[in-house]
Parts: sequence; C-alpha cells; structure tokens
Amino acid sequence: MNDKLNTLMADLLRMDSSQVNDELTMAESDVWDSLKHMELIVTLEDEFDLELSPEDIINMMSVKAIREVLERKGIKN
Amino acid sequence: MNLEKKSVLLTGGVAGIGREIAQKLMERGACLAVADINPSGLEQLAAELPGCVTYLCDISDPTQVDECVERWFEKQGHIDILINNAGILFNKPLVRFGPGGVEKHDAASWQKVIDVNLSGTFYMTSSVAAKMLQKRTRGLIVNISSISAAGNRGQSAYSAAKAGVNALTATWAKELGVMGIRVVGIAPGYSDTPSTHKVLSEDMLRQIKSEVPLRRLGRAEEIANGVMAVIENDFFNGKVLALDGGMVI
Repeated sequence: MNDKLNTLMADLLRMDSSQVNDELTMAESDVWDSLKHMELIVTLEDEFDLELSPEDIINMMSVKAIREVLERKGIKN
Repeated sequence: MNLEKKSVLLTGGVAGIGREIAQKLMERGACLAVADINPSGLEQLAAELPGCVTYLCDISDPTQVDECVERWFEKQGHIDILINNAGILFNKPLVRFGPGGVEKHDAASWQKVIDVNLSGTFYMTSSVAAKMLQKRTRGLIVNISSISAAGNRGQSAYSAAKAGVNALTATWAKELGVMGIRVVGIAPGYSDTPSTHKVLSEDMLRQIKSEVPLRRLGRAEEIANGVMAVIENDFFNGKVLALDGGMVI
C-alpha cells in the first residue's frame, strides 16, 4: 500500500516518487492545493475502493494522515 | 439525472420561466423548494403546487441565502439540484441625452443588478455546493443566464452580470466536476414573460421578433423544457445552452 500511495501521490502532484514521504503536508506543498485535494480524494476512493467521510477528508492533510485513515479502513501494507 | 424524489432548490420560482420550471419539476416527482423575494407570489405558488416548500429569501443577502439553504438541507438531508433562476431584468444605456444634459447610468442600478444576478448566484451556489461536498452528493447546478451575456445595447449591468454567470458556470464545472457535480447554464433569448413585457415596449418587442428567425418570442415552457433536458443529460457540463429561436445578438 505504501508504494501504491506514494506512486499515486507522486502522479497526482507531478512529483518524483522519491520526494513523496510521510512528512509531505498540504500546507508545505505548492502544488497540493484545495482543488488538488478534491482530486486526491476521488482518486483514493477509486483506487482503494472506499468511501471517505467529510471528517476523513478534512483530516487528510499529510501523507502520514492519509496513510492512517487508509489503515483505519483496513487497507494495510 | 432522473428527477423522481430528488431534492431541488429553485430560486425565483413564482413567475415567468421559474414558475414553469417549478411546475415541470413537480410533475417529474422532485421534492421542490422555491426561494423568492415575493411573499404573495410564494403564497400563491404554495396553493397552486401542493407539496412545494417555499422560502422568503433575498438572494443578494448572503446571510438570508445561508439560512434558506440550511433550512432545506435540514429538511431533506441533502440537496441534489440547485437552479439559479432568480434575477432582475434592467435596461438603461451607459449615457444618454436627458432633459438636464448628458446623463450617466447610475451606480445604484448597476450595483443592484450585479448584486442580484451575479452575486446572488455566487452566494447561493457556494452555500449549496458546500452541502453537496459535505454529503458527497453528485449534484447539479443549473444557472439561468441570458443571450445578453454576449453584450446587448442598453443592458450594461444585465449583460455584465450574465457574462459573469457564464464564466462562473465554466469555472465551477472545472472545480466541482471531479466530485461528480455538474454545472450547466441555459441562456434564454427574449421570452414571453411578465418581466420582458415590463421592461420592453410593444414597439421594441415587435423589432426584436423581426430579428428572430422564428419571428416570435420564446415561451417560458420552452425554456423550462431546456432546463429539464440539461438535467436529464448527465454528460452535459460546463456549457451554456442558448435557447433563442436562432437569434444571435
């Protein structure tokens, strides 16, 4: 899942996957804006076949937070 | 989108095109709320369309808009469709020769038309779109624009407002499409409605009809049929459909 999430984030944010790590946050990224965030949510839902709640979406402001939400929903490494 | 049991909020639904839209929505089984600034018109609408919920609301006031949207959202649990139809038609040239010399288009009239037709659409859509995101509703926003958006003499404020509405239609379609929300527009030409007859003289209407290939004004029912068509076609998005009988301003 780690690889898949990192690849997905890198594709979406148009970054090299080596630059994507748990410390990457929306606040510190120039390309991860609120519009990109909506795109990210839909992509995550499609790729992992899940439905994210508004609370999940609001909390998913870093790669680490996204990973935690996915793990809570049973998506493991 | 099938309208059966869909939660719809329509602004400006007591007369003209809005009234026809309300009628067709109810006929198709939608759960409908109409927000309008006309209290007696709302009373009459509620009597004529049993089941239609009415809210007194000035769409140029963002606080009233939020309250109206909140009430319908609380009642329904979600909002599937917003139809931004409310607006005011207004004609005045930029400058003209008057009894006292050259007169300018007054700022108050300009502001009023922009407040209702453009800002009102923005306030209502931002409020409803927030509810759609909150409930992850794959909804629809329909903006009633006008062919005057292309620029029409004597309609500085109205044309500017409707051009703004067209720009918002494209912008919101691009922003919200990823969440499954469509944003579309309908641009009526000159239509046979009370507001048209209020602001245009019979001489002007005769001239206008002569410029329409079909030689007549549009009927409110025909515009409402266009709204139903764009609601039902799930691939129509980000565009404004002109319904003007072939007239191009």
